[in-house]
Amino acid sequence: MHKKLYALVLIAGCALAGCGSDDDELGLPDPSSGRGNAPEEVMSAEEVAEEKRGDVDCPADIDTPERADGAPVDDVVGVRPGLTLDDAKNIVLCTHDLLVAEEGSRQFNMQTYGQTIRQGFTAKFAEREKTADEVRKEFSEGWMDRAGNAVVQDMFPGQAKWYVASMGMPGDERVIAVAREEWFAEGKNPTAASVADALVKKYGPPSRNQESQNGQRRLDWIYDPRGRAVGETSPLFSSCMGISSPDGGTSFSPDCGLVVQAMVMTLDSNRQLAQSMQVGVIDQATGYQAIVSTEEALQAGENARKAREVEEAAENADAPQL
Amino acid sequence: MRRSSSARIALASALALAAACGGEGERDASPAAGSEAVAPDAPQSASPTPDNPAARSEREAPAPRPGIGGRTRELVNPEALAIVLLRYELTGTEPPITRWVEEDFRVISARAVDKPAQRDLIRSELEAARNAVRDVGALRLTLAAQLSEYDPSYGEFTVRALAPSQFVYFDAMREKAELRFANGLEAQVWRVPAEEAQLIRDKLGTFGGASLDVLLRITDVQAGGAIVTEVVEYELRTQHSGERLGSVRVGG
Repeated sequence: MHKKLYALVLIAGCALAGCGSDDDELGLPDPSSGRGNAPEEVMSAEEVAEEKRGDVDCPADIDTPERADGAPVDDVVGVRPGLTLDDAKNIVLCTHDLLVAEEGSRQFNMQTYGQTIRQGFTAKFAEREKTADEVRKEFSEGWMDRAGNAVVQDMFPGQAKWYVASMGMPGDERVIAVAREEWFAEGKNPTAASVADALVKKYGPPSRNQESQNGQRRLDWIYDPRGRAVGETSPLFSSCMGISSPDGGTSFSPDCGLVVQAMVMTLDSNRQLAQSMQVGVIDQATGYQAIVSTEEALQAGENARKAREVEEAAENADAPQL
Repeated sequence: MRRSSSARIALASALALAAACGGEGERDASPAAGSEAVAPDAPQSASPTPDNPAARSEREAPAPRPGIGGRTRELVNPEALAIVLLRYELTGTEPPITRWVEEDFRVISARAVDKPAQRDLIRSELEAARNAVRDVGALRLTLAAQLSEYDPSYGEFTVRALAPSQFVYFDAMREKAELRFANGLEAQVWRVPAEEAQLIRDKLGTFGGASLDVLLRITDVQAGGAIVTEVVEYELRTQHSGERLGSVRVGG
Protein backbone atom coordinates (compact mmCIF):
# COMPACT_ATOMS: atom_id res chain seq x y z
CA MET A 1 0.00 0.00 0.00
CA HIS A 2 1.44 3.34 -0.97
CA LYS A 3 0.67 6.45 0.83
CA LYS A 4 1.84 10.00 0.40
CA LEU A 5 2.59 12.01 3.44
CA TYR A 6 1.85 15.67 3.51
CA ALA A 7 3.12 17.85 6.28
CA LEU A 8 1.13 20.98 6.15
CA VAL A 9 2.41 24.41 6.89
CA LEU A 10 0.27 27.02 8.39
CA ILE A 11 0.11 30.62 7.55
CA ALA A 12 -0.14 31.65 11.11
CA GLY A 13 -1.08 35.19 10.41
CA CYS A 14 -4.18 34.13 8.54
CA ALA A 15 -5.36 31.66 11.13
CA LEU A 16 -8.12 33.74 12.52
CA ALA A 17 -9.24 37.27 11.94
CA GLY A 18 -10.55 39.27 14.86
CA CYS A 19 -13.91 37.99 15.99
CA GLY A 20 -15.19 40.73 18.24
CA SER A 21 -16.07 44.29 17.56
CA ASP A 22 -14.67 46.02 20.60
CA ASP A 23 -12.36 48.87 19.90
CA ASP A 24 -9.63 47.10 21.85
CA GLU A 25 -9.81 44.18 19.49
CA LEU A 26 -9.67 46.49 16.53
CA GLY A 27 -6.65 48.22 17.95
CA LEU A 28 -8.39 51.55 18.00
CA PRO A 29 -7.18 54.52 20.03
CA ASP A 30 -8.48 54.71 23.59
CA PRO A 31 -11.00 57.59 23.78
CA SER A 32 -9.72 58.39 27.26
CA SER A 33 -6.20 58.85 26.01
CA GLY A 34 -6.59 62.62 25.80
CA ARG A 35 -6.98 62.94 22.09
CA GLY A 36 -10.64 63.82 22.47
CA ASN A 37 -12.27 64.89 19.25
CA ALA A 38 -9.17 66.52 17.85
CA PRO A 39 -8.28 65.44 14.34
CA GLU A 40 -6.19 62.31 14.47
CA GLU A 41 -2.62 62.56 13.31
CA VAL A 42 -1.70 59.55 11.26
CA MET A 43 1.64 58.59 9.79
CA SER A 44 2.09 58.67 6.06
CA ALA A 45 3.11 55.55 4.16
CA GLU A 46 6.63 56.94 3.88
CA GLU A 47 6.81 57.49 7.63
CA VAL A 48 5.46 54.03 8.35
CA ALA A 49 8.01 52.51 5.96
CA GLU A 50 10.87 54.47 7.49
CA GLU A 51 9.92 53.35 10.97
CA LYS A 52 9.48 49.69 10.08
CA ARG A 53 12.42 49.26 7.72
CA GLY A 54 15.11 50.50 10.07
CA ASP A 55 18.57 50.86 8.56
CA VAL A 56 18.78 49.28 5.16
CA ASP A 57 22.02 49.43 3.20
CA CYS A 58 21.42 49.68 -0.53
CA PRO A 59 22.53 48.26 -2.82
CA ALA A 60 22.61 45.05 -0.83
CA ASP A 61 26.04 43.69 0.01
CA ILE A 62 25.65 39.96 -0.56
CA ASP A 63 27.87 37.44 1.19
CA THR A 64 26.38 34.35 -0.48
CA PRO A 65 28.50 33.00 -3.36
CA GLU A 66 27.32 33.57 -6.91
CA ARG A 67 25.29 31.00 -8.75
CA ALA A 68 27.47 28.34 -10.36
CA ASP A 69 28.31 28.73 -14.03
CA GLY A 70 25.91 26.86 -16.25
CA ALA A 71 23.33 26.41 -13.52
CA PRO A 72 19.72 27.30 -14.36
CA VAL A 73 18.68 30.90 -13.75
CA ASP A 74 17.07 30.75 -10.33
CA ASP A 75 16.52 34.28 -9.06
CA VAL A 76 13.62 36.66 -8.75
CA VAL A 77 15.03 40.18 -8.92
CA GLY A 78 18.23 38.83 -7.36
CA VAL A 79 16.64 36.74 -4.62
CA ARG A 80 17.33 33.04 -5.07
CA PRO A 81 17.44 29.80 -3.13
CA GLY A 82 20.62 29.41 -1.13
CA LEU A 83 20.90 33.05 -0.07
CA THR A 84 21.04 33.74 3.61
CA LEU A 85 17.78 35.06 4.96
CA ASP A 86 19.36 38.39 5.83
CA ASP A 87 20.85 38.79 2.36
CA ALA A 88 17.46 38.05 0.83
CA LYS A 89 15.72 40.56 3.04
CA ASN A 90 18.29 43.18 2.21
CA ILE A 91 17.79 42.66 -1.52
CA VAL A 92 14.01 42.77 -1.23
CA LEU A 93 13.98 45.96 0.82
CA CYS A 94 16.33 47.60 -1.65
CA THR A 95 13.88 47.05 -4.51
CA HIS A 96 11.57 49.79 -3.22
CA ASP A 97 11.67 52.36 -0.43
CA LEU A 98 8.11 51.61 0.64
CA LEU A 99 8.56 47.87 1.07
CA VAL A 100 8.44 46.60 4.63
CA ALA A 101 9.19 43.05 5.70
CA GLU A 102 7.51 40.96 8.35
CA GLU A 103 8.87 37.73 9.76
CA GLY A 104 6.80 35.01 11.35
CA SER A 105 3.59 35.54 9.43
CA ARG A 106 3.99 32.17 7.72
CA GLN A 107 5.32 29.10 9.47
CA PHE A 108 6.03 25.54 8.52
CA ASN A 109 4.09 23.02 10.51
CA MET A 110 7.10 21.45 12.13
CA GLN A 111 8.17 20.44 15.61
CA THR A 112 10.65 23.04 16.84
CA TYR A 113 10.84 21.90 20.48
CA GLY A 114 10.36 25.43 21.67
CA GLN A 115 13.16 26.92 19.60
CA THR A 116 12.59 29.89 17.35
CA ILE A 117 13.36 29.14 13.73
CA ARG A 118 13.22 32.04 11.29
CA GLN A 119 11.21 30.60 8.46
CA GLY A 120 11.17 33.49 6.04
CA PHE A 121 9.31 36.74 5.63
CA THR A 122 6.70 38.52 3.62
CA ALA A 123 7.15 42.02 2.28
CA LYS A 124 4.62 44.48 0.98
CA PHE A 125 4.16 48.19 0.51
CA ALA A 126 3.70 50.22 3.65
CA GLU A 127 0.33 51.89 4.01
CA ARG A 128 -0.40 55.11 5.78
CA GLU A 129 -1.90 54.73 9.20
CA LYS A 130 -5.64 54.65 9.29
CA THR A 131 -7.91 56.76 11.44
CA ALA A 132 -10.23 55.07 13.89
CA ASP A 133 -13.17 55.69 11.55
CA GLU A 134 -11.30 54.13 8.67
CA VAL A 135 -10.40 51.09 10.73
CA ARG A 136 -14.03 50.63 11.75
CA LYS A 137 -15.22 51.00 8.18
CA GLU A 138 -12.55 48.64 6.88
CA PHE A 139 -13.38 46.06 9.50
CA SER A 140 -17.06 46.22 8.68
CA GLU A 141 -16.47 46.01 4.95
CA GLY A 142 -13.99 43.21 5.43
CA TRP A 143 -16.51 41.25 7.42
CA MET A 144 -19.08 41.72 4.66
CA ASP A 145 -16.54 40.72 2.03
CA ARG A 146 -15.67 37.55 3.87
CA ALA A 147 -19.32 36.73 4.47
CA GLY A 148 -20.02 37.19 0.78
CA ASN A 149 -16.91 35.30 -0.28
CA ALA A 150 -15.81 38.32 -2.25
CA VAL A 151 -12.50 38.47 -4.08
CA VAL A 152 -10.49 41.24 -2.48
CA GLN A 153 -7.26 42.46 -4.01
CA ASP A 154 -4.68 43.58 -1.50
CA MET A 155 -2.52 45.35 -4.05
CA PHE A 156 -2.78 48.43 -6.19
CA PRO A 157 -1.20 49.22 -9.55
CA GLY A 158 2.46 50.07 -9.14
CA GLN A 159 2.92 47.87 -6.06
CA ALA A 160 4.76 44.63 -5.43
CA LYS A 161 4.76 42.06 -2.68
CA TRP A 162 7.03 39.18 -1.77
CA TYR A 163 7.17 35.92 0.08
CA VAL A 164 10.55 34.41 0.93
CA ALA A 165 10.71 31.02 2.66
CA SER A 166 13.81 29.96 4.52
CA MET A 167 14.95 27.05 6.62
CA GLY A 168 17.92 26.15 8.74
CA MET A 169 19.16 26.19 12.29
CA PRO A 170 19.27 29.59 14.03
CA GLY A 171 21.91 31.74 12.38
CA ASP A 172 22.10 29.60 9.27
CA GLU A 173 18.72 30.12 7.65
CA ARG A 174 18.81 29.83 3.86
CA VAL A 175 16.24 30.74 1.26
CA ILE A 176 14.40 27.72 -0.14
CA ALA A 177 11.63 29.49 -2.07
CA VAL A 178 10.76 32.98 -3.22
CA ALA A 179 7.71 34.48 -4.91
CA ARG A 180 6.99 38.00 -6.05
CA GLU A 181 3.89 39.66 -7.44
CA GLU A 182 3.97 42.96 -9.28
CA TRP A 183 1.06 45.09 -10.44
CA PHE A 184 1.96 47.30 -13.34
CA ALA A 185 1.24 51.00 -12.94
CA GLU A 186 -1.91 52.27 -14.59
CA GLY A 187 -1.28 53.51 -18.08
CA LYS A 188 2.07 51.73 -18.20
CA ASN A 189 0.82 48.20 -18.67
CA PRO A 190 3.09 46.21 -20.98
CA THR A 191 1.65 43.68 -23.40
CA ALA A 192 1.26 40.20 -21.97
CA ALA A 193 3.31 38.90 -24.87
CA SER A 194 6.22 41.21 -24.06
CA VAL A 195 6.18 40.10 -20.42
CA ALA A 196 6.23 36.45 -21.48
CA ASP A 197 9.06 37.19 -23.89
CA ALA A 198 11.05 38.89 -21.14
CA LEU A 199 10.55 35.86 -18.90
CA VAL A 200 11.74 33.50 -21.62
CA LYS A 201 14.73 35.73 -22.26
CA LYS A 202 15.70 35.55 -18.61
CA TYR A 203 14.86 31.95 -17.71
CA GLY A 204 15.28 30.24 -21.08
CA PRO A 205 12.91 27.97 -23.00
CA PRO A 206 10.14 26.91 -20.60
CA SER A 207 9.09 23.35 -19.86
CA ARG A 208 5.47 24.48 -20.05
CA ASN A 209 3.96 27.55 -21.72
CA GLN A 210 0.20 27.79 -21.52
CA GLU A 211 -2.18 30.57 -22.44
CA SER A 212 -5.75 30.45 -21.20
CA GLN A 213 -8.82 31.81 -22.93
CA ASN A 214 -8.72 35.03 -20.95
CA GLY A 215 -5.18 35.67 -22.06
CA GLN A 216 -3.60 34.65 -18.77
CA ARG A 217 -0.27 32.97 -19.29
CA ARG A 218 1.53 30.39 -17.22
CA LEU A 219 5.12 29.42 -17.78
CA ASP A 220 7.12 26.77 -15.90
CA TRP A 221 10.78 25.91 -15.96
CA ILE A 222 11.20 22.53 -14.28
CA TYR A 223 14.48 20.83 -13.41
CA ASP A 224 15.23 17.54 -11.72
CA PRO A 225 17.54 17.44 -8.68
CA ARG A 226 20.50 16.93 -11.03
CA GLY A 227 19.75 20.20 -12.76
CA ARG A 228 18.45 18.56 -15.94
CA ALA A 229 15.56 20.28 -17.69
CA VAL A 230 12.34 18.30 -17.38
CA GLY A 231 10.20 17.85 -20.47
CA GLU A 232 6.68 16.53 -20.79
CA THR A 233 7.90 12.94 -21.22
CA SER A 234 9.41 12.96 -17.76
CA PRO A 235 7.43 11.58 -14.81
CA LEU A 236 8.38 14.77 -12.98
CA PHE A 237 6.63 17.02 -15.49
CA SER A 238 3.24 16.73 -13.85
CA SER A 239 4.40 16.19 -10.28
CA CYS A 240 6.88 19.02 -9.66
CA MET A 241 4.86 22.09 -8.88
CA GLY A 242 6.21 25.59 -8.52
CA ILE A 243 5.09 28.64 -6.63
CA SER A 244 4.31 31.94 -8.28
CA SER A 245 1.92 33.71 -5.92
CA PRO A 246 3.34 35.10 -2.68
CA ASP A 247 0.12 33.90 -1.07
CA GLY A 248 0.31 30.43 -2.54
CA GLY A 249 1.13 27.13 -0.93
CA THR A 250 4.45 25.46 -1.49
CA SER A 251 5.28 21.80 -1.76
CA PHE A 252 8.74 20.32 -1.32
CA SER A 253 9.65 16.90 -2.69
CA PRO A 254 13.12 15.37 -2.79
CA ASP A 255 12.28 14.05 -6.26
CA CYS A 256 12.09 17.53 -7.77
CA GLY A 257 14.75 20.14 -8.29
CA LEU A 258 14.43 23.78 -9.17
CA VAL A 259 11.04 24.95 -10.40
CA VAL A 260 10.46 28.46 -11.70
CA GLN A 261 6.86 29.42 -12.28
CA ALA A 262 5.45 32.61 -13.74
CA MET A 263 1.91 33.85 -14.25
CA VAL A 264 0.96 36.84 -16.36
CA MET A 265 -2.51 38.23 -15.64
CA THR A 266 -4.27 40.47 -18.15
CA LEU A 267 -6.52 43.50 -17.86
CA ASP A 268 -10.25 42.85 -18.05
CA SER A 269 -10.52 45.81 -20.39
CA ASN A 270 -7.82 44.57 -22.76
CA ARG A 271 -6.68 40.96 -22.68
CA GLN A 272 -3.52 41.78 -24.56
CA LEU A 273 -2.20 44.03 -21.81
CA ALA A 274 -0.68 42.68 -18.63
CA GLN A 275 -2.25 43.77 -15.36
CA SER A 276 0.14 41.92 -13.09
CA MET A 277 2.87 39.30 -13.01
CA GLN A 278 3.85 36.67 -10.48
CA VAL A 279 7.20 34.91 -10.55
CA GLY A 280 8.42 32.34 -8.06
CA VAL A 281 11.36 30.01 -7.63
CA ILE A 282 11.50 26.97 -5.41
CA ASP A 283 14.34 24.52 -4.93
CA GLN A 284 12.37 21.50 -3.85
CA ALA A 285 15.03 18.88 -3.14
CA THR A 286 17.28 21.33 -1.32
CA GLY A 287 14.34 22.79 0.57
CA TYR A 288 13.10 19.35 1.55
CA GLN A 289 16.52 18.37 2.81
CA ALA A 290 16.85 21.64 4.72
CA ILE A 291 13.53 21.06 6.47
CA VAL A 292 14.33 17.43 7.28
CA SER A 293 17.84 18.26 8.47
CA THR A 294 16.60 21.10 10.64
CA GLU A 295 13.97 18.89 12.21
CA GLU A 296 16.56 16.20 12.87
CA ALA A 297 18.98 18.68 14.41
CA LEU A 298 16.23 20.06 16.62
CA GLN A 299 15.22 16.57 17.65
CA ALA A 300 18.81 15.64 18.41
CA GLY A 301 19.10 18.74 20.58
CA GLU A 302 15.89 17.84 22.36
CA ASN A 303 17.09 14.28 22.95
CA ALA A 304 20.36 15.63 24.35
CA ARG A 305 18.46 17.97 26.65
CA LYS A 306 16.36 15.14 28.01
CA ALA A 307 19.39 12.92 28.51
CA ARG A 308 21.20 15.71 30.30
CA GLU A 309 18.24 16.29 32.61
CA VAL A 310 18.05 12.59 33.43
CA GLU A 311 21.76 12.58 34.16
CA GLU A 312 21.42 15.60 36.40
CA ALA A 313 18.43 14.04 38.12
CA ALA A 314 20.48 10.96 38.93
CA GLU A 315 23.04 13.15 40.67
CA ASN A 316 20.98 15.87 42.29
CA ALA A 317 17.38 14.77 42.63
CA ASP A 318 15.79 14.04 45.96
CA ALA A 319 15.27 10.41 46.89
CA PRO A 320 11.66 9.45 47.53
CA GLN A 321 10.66 9.08 51.16
CA LEU A 322 9.26 5.56 51.60
CA MET B 1 2.87 -4.82 7.85
CA ARG B 2 5.20 -3.24 5.34
CA ARG B 3 4.37 -0.22 3.26
CA SER B 4 6.26 1.93 0.87
CA SER B 5 5.46 5.58 0.96
CA SER B 6 6.59 8.86 -0.44
CA ALA B 7 7.45 11.95 1.51
CA ARG B 8 6.53 15.43 0.47
CA ILE B 9 6.41 18.53 2.56
CA ALA B 10 3.68 20.86 1.59
CA LEU B 11 3.08 24.43 2.56
CA ALA B 12 -0.52 25.40 2.54
CA SER B 13 -2.77 28.13 3.76
CA ALA B 14 -4.13 28.18 7.26
CA LEU B 15 -7.43 26.99 5.98
CA ALA B 16 -5.97 23.68 4.99
CA LEU B 17 -5.57 22.37 8.48
CA ALA B 18 -6.03 18.72 7.80
CA ALA B 19 -3.12 16.64 6.65
CA ALA B 20 -3.78 15.28 3.21
CA CYS B 21 -2.90 11.71 2.47
CA GLY B 22 -3.28 10.16 -0.90
CA GLY B 23 -1.63 8.28 -3.68
CA GLU B 24 -2.83 4.92 -2.55
CA GLY B 25 -1.26 2.16 -4.54
CA GLU B 26 -0.32 -1.39 -4.28
CA ARG B 27 2.56 -3.10 -2.54
CA ASP B 28 3.69 -6.57 -1.78
CA ALA B 29 2.68 -7.95 -5.13
CA SER B 30 5.58 -10.33 -5.13
CA PRO B 31 5.60 -12.61 -8.13
CA ALA B 32 9.32 -13.09 -7.80
CA ALA B 33 10.53 -14.98 -4.81
CA GLY B 34 12.34 -12.61 -2.56
CA SER B 35 14.93 -15.20 -1.71
CA GLU B 36 16.02 -15.57 -5.30
CA ALA B 37 19.42 -14.06 -5.82
CA VAL B 38 19.44 -10.85 -7.80
CA ALA B 39 21.68 -11.28 -10.77
CA PRO B 40 23.92 -8.25 -10.92
CA ASP B 41 24.43 -6.82 -14.36
CA ALA B 42 26.66 -4.19 -15.77
CA PRO B 43 26.02 -0.77 -14.33
CA GLN B 44 22.68 0.65 -15.44
CA SER B 45 22.22 -2.01 -18.11
CA ALA B 46 19.06 -3.42 -19.58
CA SER B 47 18.29 -7.11 -19.91
CA PRO B 48 21.47 -8.91 -20.85
CA THR B 49 21.87 -11.80 -23.22
CA PRO B 50 24.20 -14.66 -22.32
CA ASP B 51 26.95 -13.38 -24.54
CA ASN B 52 26.89 -9.74 -23.70
CA PRO B 53 29.11 -7.92 -21.21
CA ALA B 54 26.28 -7.51 -18.80
CA ALA B 55 25.99 -11.25 -18.40
CA ARG B 56 29.72 -11.56 -17.84
CA SER B 57 29.56 -8.94 -15.16
CA GLU B 58 27.17 -11.21 -13.28
CA ARG B 59 30.14 -13.40 -12.44
CA GLU B 60 32.52 -10.52 -11.95
CA ALA B 61 30.33 -8.30 -9.79
CA PRO B 62 32.04 -7.57 -6.52
CA ALA B 63 30.35 -8.69 -3.35
CA PRO B 64 28.53 -5.85 -1.64
CA ARG B 65 30.44 -4.10 1.07
CA PRO B 66 29.43 -4.85 4.65
CA GLY B 67 26.77 -2.67 6.18
CA ILE B 68 27.13 -0.26 9.05
CA GLY B 69 29.59 -1.45 11.68
CA GLY B 70 30.92 -4.25 9.45
CA ARG B 71 27.63 -6.13 9.55
CA THR B 72 27.54 -8.88 6.96
CA ARG B 73 24.36 -10.90 7.40
CA GLU B 74 21.40 -10.44 5.10
CA LEU B 75 17.64 -10.64 5.63
CA VAL B 76 15.28 -11.53 2.79
CA ASN B 77 11.82 -9.93 2.80
CA PRO B 78 11.88 -9.63 6.59
CA GLU B 79 8.75 -9.34 8.65
CA ALA B 80 7.92 -6.01 10.21
CA LEU B 81 8.96 -7.22 13.67
CA ALA B 82 12.44 -8.01 12.37
CA ILE B 83 12.88 -4.45 11.09
CA VAL B 84 11.60 -2.95 14.34
CA LEU B 85 14.05 -5.14 16.25
CA LEU B 86 16.80 -4.27 13.79
CA ARG B 87 16.23 -0.60 14.48
CA TYR B 88 16.75 -1.23 18.20
CA GLU B 89 19.85 -3.25 17.38
CA LEU B 90 21.28 -0.51 15.20
CA THR B 91 20.59 2.25 17.69
CA GLY B 92 22.03 0.18 20.52
CA THR B 93 18.87 0.43 22.59
CA GLU B 94 16.92 -2.29 24.34
CA PRO B 95 13.59 -3.31 22.86
CA PRO B 96 10.76 -3.26 25.44
CA ILE B 97 10.32 -7.01 25.33
CA THR B 98 8.68 -7.23 28.74
CA ARG B 99 6.01 -4.75 27.70
CA TRP B 100 5.52 -6.49 24.36
CA VAL B 101 5.04 -9.80 26.17
CA GLU B 102 2.37 -8.31 28.41
CA GLU B 103 0.63 -6.68 25.42
CA ASP B 104 0.54 -9.90 23.44
CA PHE B 105 -3.01 -11.13 22.95
CA ARG B 106 -2.03 -14.65 23.90
CA VAL B 107 -1.03 -13.43 27.35
CA ILE B 108 -3.99 -11.11 27.71
CA SER B 109 -6.49 -13.79 26.77
CA ALA B 110 -4.86 -16.68 28.62
CA ARG B 111 -6.31 -17.98 31.87
CA ALA B 112 -4.35 -16.82 34.89
CA VAL B 113 -2.93 -20.22 35.48
CA ASP B 114 -1.63 -20.36 31.90
CA LYS B 115 -0.17 -16.87 31.75
CA PRO B 116 3.35 -17.71 32.99
CA ALA B 117 3.77 -20.36 30.31
CA GLN B 118 2.47 -18.00 27.64
CA ARG B 119 4.85 -15.32 28.83
CA ASP B 120 7.79 -17.71 28.58
CA LEU B 121 6.71 -18.80 25.11
CA ILE B 122 6.30 -15.28 23.74
CA ARG B 123 9.49 -14.05 25.36
CA SER B 124 11.41 -16.89 23.76
CA GLU B 125 9.87 -16.04 20.37
CA LEU B 126 10.85 -12.41 20.72
CA GLU B 127 14.34 -13.26 21.89
CA ALA B 128 14.75 -15.59 18.90
CA ALA B 129 13.57 -12.84 16.58
CA ARG B 130 15.98 -10.46 18.25
CA ASN B 131 18.88 -12.86 17.80
CA ALA B 132 17.94 -13.29 14.15
CA VAL B 133 18.67 -9.64 13.37
CA ARG B 134 22.10 -9.53 14.98
CA ASP B 135 24.91 -8.64 12.58
CA VAL B 136 22.41 -7.89 9.79
CA GLY B 137 23.85 -5.35 7.38
CA ALA B 138 21.87 -5.98 4.21
CA LEU B 139 18.26 -6.50 3.20
CA ARG B 140 16.61 -7.95 0.13
CA LEU B 141 13.09 -6.71 -0.50
CA THR B 142 10.46 -7.27 -3.13
CA LEU B 143 8.43 -4.17 -3.89
CA ALA B 144 6.18 -2.77 -6.57
CA ALA B 145 8.60 -0.88 -8.81
CA GLN B 146 6.27 1.97 -9.78
CA LEU B 147 8.02 2.11 -13.10
CA SER B 148 7.49 5.32 -15.04
CA GLU B 149 6.83 5.68 -18.73
CA TYR B 150 9.99 5.70 -20.80
CA ASP B 151 11.52 9.15 -21.13
CA PRO B 152 13.18 9.35 -24.54
CA SER B 153 14.74 12.73 -23.70
CA TYR B 154 17.22 11.06 -21.38
CA GLY B 155 16.78 7.42 -22.45
CA GLU B 156 15.58 6.14 -19.11
CA PHE B 157 12.80 4.73 -17.04
CA THR B 158 12.37 5.92 -13.49
CA VAL B 159 11.95 3.29 -10.79
CA ARG B 160 9.84 5.48 -8.56
CA ALA B 161 9.84 2.97 -5.71
CA LEU B 162 13.48 3.96 -5.21
CA ALA B 163 13.02 7.72 -5.62
CA PRO B 164 14.44 9.96 -2.90
CA SER B 165 10.94 10.65 -1.61
CA GLN B 166 10.21 6.99 -1.09
CA PHE B 167 10.58 5.00 2.05
CA VAL B 168 9.41 1.61 3.14
CA TYR B 169 7.90 1.41 6.52
CA PHE B 170 7.11 -1.42 8.83
CA ASP B 171 4.60 -1.56 11.61
CA ALA B 172 4.86 -4.09 14.45
CA MET B 173 4.25 -4.08 18.19
CA ARG B 174 2.61 -0.68 17.80
CA GLU B 175 5.92 0.73 16.64
CA LYS B 176 7.02 1.93 13.27
CA ALA B 177 10.36 1.60 11.56
CA GLU B 178 11.22 2.91 8.15
CA LEU B 179 13.83 2.34 5.50
CA ARG B 180 15.12 5.17 3.37
CA PHE B 181 17.27 5.12 0.27
CA ALA B 182 20.31 7.36 0.63
CA ASN B 183 21.24 7.00 -3.05
CA GLY B 184 17.68 7.01 -4.39
CA LEU B 185 18.41 9.86 -6.78
CA GLU B 186 20.92 7.72 -8.63
CA ALA B 187 19.28 4.35 -8.03
CA GLN B 188 15.88 5.31 -9.46
CA VAL B 189 17.32 5.82 -12.93
CA TRP B 190 17.18 2.82 -15.22
CA ARG B 191 18.93 3.75 -18.42
CA VAL B 192 17.75 1.81 -21.43
CA PRO B 193 18.53 2.37 -25.11
CA ALA B 194 15.48 3.41 -27.11
CA GLU B 195 15.40 0.21 -29.14
CA GLU B 196 15.26 -1.92 -25.98
CA ALA B 197 12.73 0.35 -24.32
CA GLN B 198 10.03 -0.63 -26.76
CA LEU B 199 10.64 -4.29 -26.00
CA ILE B 200 10.26 -3.62 -22.29
CA ARG B 201 7.07 -1.66 -22.86
CA ASP B 202 5.72 -4.56 -24.90
CA LYS B 203 6.48 -6.98 -22.09
CA LEU B 204 4.74 -4.75 -19.58
CA GLY B 205 1.65 -4.28 -21.73
CA THR B 206 -0.74 -1.39 -21.44
CA PHE B 207 -1.58 -1.70 -17.78
CA GLY B 208 1.17 -3.97 -16.55
CA GLY B 209 3.28 -3.07 -13.60
CA ALA B 210 6.75 -4.16 -12.64
CA SER B 211 8.02 -5.67 -9.44
CA LEU B 212 11.39 -5.00 -7.96
CA ASP B 213 13.81 -7.28 -6.13
CA VAL B 214 16.29 -4.95 -4.51
CA LEU B 215 19.41 -5.45 -2.41
CA LEU B 216 19.94 -2.76 0.20
CA ARG B 217 23.03 -2.15 2.29
CA ILE B 218 22.40 -0.54 5.67
CA THR B 219 24.58 2.53 6.06
CA ASP B 220 23.16 4.52 8.94
CA VAL B 221 20.37 4.94 11.42
CA GLN B 222 18.97 8.39 12.05
CA ALA B 223 18.15 10.07 15.33
CA GLY B 224 14.46 9.67 14.57
CA GLY B 225 14.92 5.93 14.03
CA ALA B 226 14.87 5.74 10.23
CA ILE B 227 17.21 3.08 8.86
CA VAL B 228 19.21 4.53 6.00
CA THR B 229 20.16 2.16 3.21
CA GLU B 230 22.08 2.27 0.00
CA VAL B 231 20.60 0.57 -3.04
CA VAL B 232 23.24 -1.87 -4.25
CA GLU B 233 21.41 -3.60 -7.10
CA TYR B 234 17.99 -4.57 -8.27
CA GLU B 235 16.11 -6.65 -10.78
CA LEU B 236 12.82 -5.80 -12.42
CA ARG B 237 10.14 -8.25 -13.48
CA THR B 238 6.66 -7.98 -14.89
CA GLN B 239 4.06 -8.31 -12.18
CA HIS B 240 1.65 -10.38 -14.24
CA SER B 241 4.06 -13.07 -15.41
CA GLY B 242 7.27 -12.57 -13.50
CA GLU B 243 9.16 -12.18 -16.76
CA ARG B 244 12.52 -10.55 -16.27
CA LEU B 245 12.80 -7.00 -17.61
CA GLY B 246 16.32 -6.08 -16.61
CA SER B 247 18.61 -5.41 -13.73
CA VAL B 248 20.79 -2.62 -12.49
CA ARG B 249 23.89 -2.47 -10.35
CA VAL B 250 23.91 1.00 -8.88
CA GLY B 251 27.09 3.02 -9.10
CA GLY B 252 28.94 0.37 -11.03
